[in-house]
Amino acid sequence: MKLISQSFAQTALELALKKGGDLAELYLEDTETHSLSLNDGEPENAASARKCGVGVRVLCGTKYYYTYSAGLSEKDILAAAEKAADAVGQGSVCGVSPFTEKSFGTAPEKPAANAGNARRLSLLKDAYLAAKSVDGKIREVKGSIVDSDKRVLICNSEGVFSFDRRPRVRFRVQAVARDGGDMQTGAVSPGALRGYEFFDLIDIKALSEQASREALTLLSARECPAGVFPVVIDGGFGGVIFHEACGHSLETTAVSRGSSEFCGKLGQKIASDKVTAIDDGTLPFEWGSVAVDDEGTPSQRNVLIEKGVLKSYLSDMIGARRMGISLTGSARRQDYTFAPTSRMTNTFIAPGTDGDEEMIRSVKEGLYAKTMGGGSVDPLTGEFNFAVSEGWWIRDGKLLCPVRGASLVGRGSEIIMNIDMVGKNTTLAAGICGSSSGSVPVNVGQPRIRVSSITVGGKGERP
Amino acid sequence: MSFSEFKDKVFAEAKRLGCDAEVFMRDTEDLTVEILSHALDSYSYSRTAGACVRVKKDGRDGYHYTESFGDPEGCVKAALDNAACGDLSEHPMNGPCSYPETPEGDDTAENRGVNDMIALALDAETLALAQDERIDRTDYDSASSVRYTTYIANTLGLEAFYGGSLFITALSAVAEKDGEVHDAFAFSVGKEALQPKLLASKAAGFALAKFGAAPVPSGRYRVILQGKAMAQLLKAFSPQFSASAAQKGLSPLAGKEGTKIASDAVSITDDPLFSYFPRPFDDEGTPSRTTSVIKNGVLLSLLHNMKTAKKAGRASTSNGTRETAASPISVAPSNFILEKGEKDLAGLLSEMGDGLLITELSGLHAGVNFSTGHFSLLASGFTVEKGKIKKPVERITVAGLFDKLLSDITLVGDDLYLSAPGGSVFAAPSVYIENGLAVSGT
Repeated sequence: MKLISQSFAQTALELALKKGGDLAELYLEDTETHSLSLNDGEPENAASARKCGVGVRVLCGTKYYYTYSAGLSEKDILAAAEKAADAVGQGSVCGVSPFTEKSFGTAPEKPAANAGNARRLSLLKDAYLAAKSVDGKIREVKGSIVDSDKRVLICNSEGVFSFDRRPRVRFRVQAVARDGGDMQTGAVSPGALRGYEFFDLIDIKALSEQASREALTLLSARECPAGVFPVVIDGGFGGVIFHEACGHSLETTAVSRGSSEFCGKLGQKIASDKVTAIDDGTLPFEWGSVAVDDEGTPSQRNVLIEKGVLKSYLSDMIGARRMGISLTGSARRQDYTFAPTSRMTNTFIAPGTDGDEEMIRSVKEGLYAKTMGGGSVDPLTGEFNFAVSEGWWIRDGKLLCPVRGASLVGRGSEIIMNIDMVGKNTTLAAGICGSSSGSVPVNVGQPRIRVSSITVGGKGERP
Repeated sequence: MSFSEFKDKVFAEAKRLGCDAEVFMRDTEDLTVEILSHALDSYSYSRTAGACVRVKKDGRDGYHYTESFGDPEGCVKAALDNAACGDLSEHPMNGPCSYPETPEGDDTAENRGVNDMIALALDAETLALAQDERIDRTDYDSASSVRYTTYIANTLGLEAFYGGSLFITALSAVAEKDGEVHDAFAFSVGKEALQPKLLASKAAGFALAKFGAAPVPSGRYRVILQGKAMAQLLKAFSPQFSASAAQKGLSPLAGKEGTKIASDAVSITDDPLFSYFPRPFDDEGTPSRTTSVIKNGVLLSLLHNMKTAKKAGRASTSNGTRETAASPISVAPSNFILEKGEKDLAGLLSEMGDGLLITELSGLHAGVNFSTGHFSLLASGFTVEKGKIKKPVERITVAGLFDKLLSDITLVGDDLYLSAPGGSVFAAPSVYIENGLAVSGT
C-alpha cells in the first residue's frame, strides 16, 4: 500500500520545517478494526471502524510540537504540516535528507477483513459452549473478539521512509460461577500479532474451560490471610508486576524527568543476581511486538537488567536527546492522535535454573499466586498493590487449599531484590498498557518465580 | 472522493441491497495555545473528522465508522455485517424535518488568529500575577478556539447541517505564602474571554480566598451549594434522568413521571435552544425542543432518544447523543438547567444564618453512585455566621442522597453557573438546603 509518494512526503516535511526545527516527522495511519461480543449466547456490540489520519511532529532540541488531522488526503496532510510549522514560530531551519524506503511487517495469512461476523460468531459460540459445559455452576459466559489491521508509514527529515503492517487479534472469555449468593469469575485473554490464522493455533475450547475452572476453584476458595510471606508467582501474567512496578520506571519519559526510582542507576545493582529482564519487540507474531517503532527505528532486543545490574532504559527521540543516550526502538503511540513516547513491547524476566515444583516445595508457609488480576502503582515511588485472582495457600511445601481476595503490596525496587528463585520456562501474556501516548498492546511475562517475602493483604484466618 | 459523493454512493449501495441507510458526520478543529512563565509553552492543533454509516435491515441496525471516504460500498457492507449481529431494537430513523431557528451563536472565535490568542493568554498570566503579591505563578494558562460542524442525512429524506465555534480561555493561579500553597481554576467563554483581567481576577480571587482553610468539626450543617457545586452534582446525577437508564432498571426515577420528587423550589429544563450553546437538532436529526423535566418539584419527563421514545410510546425529547461520531446513539442532556429563583446569594446567606457555603466539590468520578443516588464528596467553601461569610473550609466530605437533596432544597438563588460548553452543559443557581447535609471533617 502506497500511502503517499516520496516527493509529496518531502514537500510536507519541508512545509513543517519552514519556520524552524531540527527534525520533522510524518506518521500516517490507516487502521481497520472489528469487534464482537457474545453475552450468554447472544451477540452484542458488533462494531467496525476505519481510522485514517496523519500526525505531524517538529522537534526543536528537547522540545516538540505535535499536530494531527483525520484524513489522508494531500490537503489534510499539508494542513497539519502547516499548523505544526506555525507552532514552531521562529528558529533555525534544516533541510530534508533523501529517503531510504523500507518495508516492515508481513501480510496476515487470513486477514481480519475477510473473516466477517459469521466467523467471529462461530468462534465465540464454541467458547461459550465449552465454558458452559464444565459445570452447572457456570451461569454466565461473556466472550469477545477484537481485531485490527494497522498500516503505517513513518517518514522524517533524516531519511526515514518506513512502512509497517500490524495485524492483531485478541480473544477473551470470562466465566462467572455462582453458588448460592457467592459469585466468582475466571478469564483468559490471549492475543497475537497475526490474522485469523491465530485461531488455528490456539485451542479455544481448552482456554474457555480453563476460565471456567478458575471461577470454580475460586468458588471453593477461602479468604486469604494477611501477613508477610514468601510468595511463588506463576509465569505469564505474573509478569504484570515487573511491567507496572519496574518497567514504567525504566521508560525515558519517566527517567528524563527525574520521576523514577531508577534515575542515575545504569551499571548499578538494582535486582538480585537471579534477575535478567528483557524488553524485546522483535519476537515473531507476539502481541506486543513491533517490527519498527512509531518513530521509524527498527525494534530490538533490549536487555534492561542483566544478573541484577541495570543495563538499559527504554528510549524515544525526545528521551534519548534529553538523556544523551541512544534509541532503543521503543517509541510507541496508540494512533495518529498521539505523539509517541517511550513504551514497553514484550517485557519479561528471562528463564533461570530453578524447578517449578522445587519452588513450591521450598515454602514452609506462603502464597502461590497462580493468576494475577489488576493493580495500581505510584510511578514516583514504585509502590504497588496488585490483586491475586487465583491463589493457593502453601504449607510444608504442598498446596493446601485455594485462597481468594489476596493482594500483593510492595515496592518495585524491593521486590526485584527479593526474587530468590527463577524458573526455567518463561511464558508471555497479552495486555493493554495505558500511558501518555495512549493504549498500546504489550506482553508481560516471566517464568515461575519465588519472592522471599512480600506483604500479602487479605481478610481471612490462616488455613 | 468528496464527502457528498461518498454519501450519495452509500445511499445508492443501500438501495441496491434493499436497506435504509444514514450518514452522520462530525468535524471538529481545535487550536489551543498554552503559556508558561511569559512564553508560549505549548501549541496544539487537532482535527477529528469521521462519518458513521448506519444501515437498517430486517429491523436490525448496524453501524460502521470511517475516516476514509474512499470506499462507500465497503462501509455499507461492514455496517450490514454488524446489523446481522444486532438485536431487533426498533430504533427508528427520522424522515425530513423542519428545524427551529436557533439563537445566534457566539462568533468570538471567528477572525481570532493565533497571535491574538497568545497575546490574550500572556496578558492573563501577567494580570494574574499583578493581582496580589501572594500570587506566585500560573500552572495552566490557555486560549482555545474550536470549530465544529455536524451533518446528518438518510435514505428517508432527512438532511440537516449545523456548525458553530467556541472561544475559551482558562487559567489556574497558584498563591503561596509562608509555605501555604493554594491553587484555583477559572475559565471564560465567548466575548467574556476577551477580557483577560476578568479571568485573572476570578482565578486569583478563588486562590487567595483559600488561605487559612481548615476542616470544620463533623456534624450536620445547614448548607448553601453555590452554583458551581450544584451544577457538578446535577452533572453527576444527570444519568438518572435518561430514559435509557430508566428502561434498563438503572435509574431510581423509572416510573416516577407525574410524581413529586423534589421541593416546590425545583424546576429543571433541558433546553437545546439555550443561547449559551444552542443546536437546532440532536445527533439523530430530531428537531430541538425544550423539555420541562421537573416543574415545581413534579417530575414531568425523562430524556429520550428515538429508541427509548418508541419503547415508551411517545416522542423523542431530542436528546439522542453520540459521544463521538464513532459511538453508538445514547441519551444525554443538552443544556440542563436548574431554573433560577429570586433571592441573591446575600439573601440566601442571611436566610441561612449559620452554616456552610460549599463552593466546589471534587472526586465526582468515584464518590457518586448515580443509580442509588448516594454521594460522598470532598468539598471546599466557607463557614457562614449570622449570614456573613467567615472562614475558608477545605478537606471536608459532604454526603447524602440526591433524591433527598432535591426534596430538601429550600430556596433557589438568582445566579446561574454555566459549565464549559461542548457536549452537555449543566447550569445551576446557588441553592439553600435548610435541612442540611452530613459533613465529616475533624
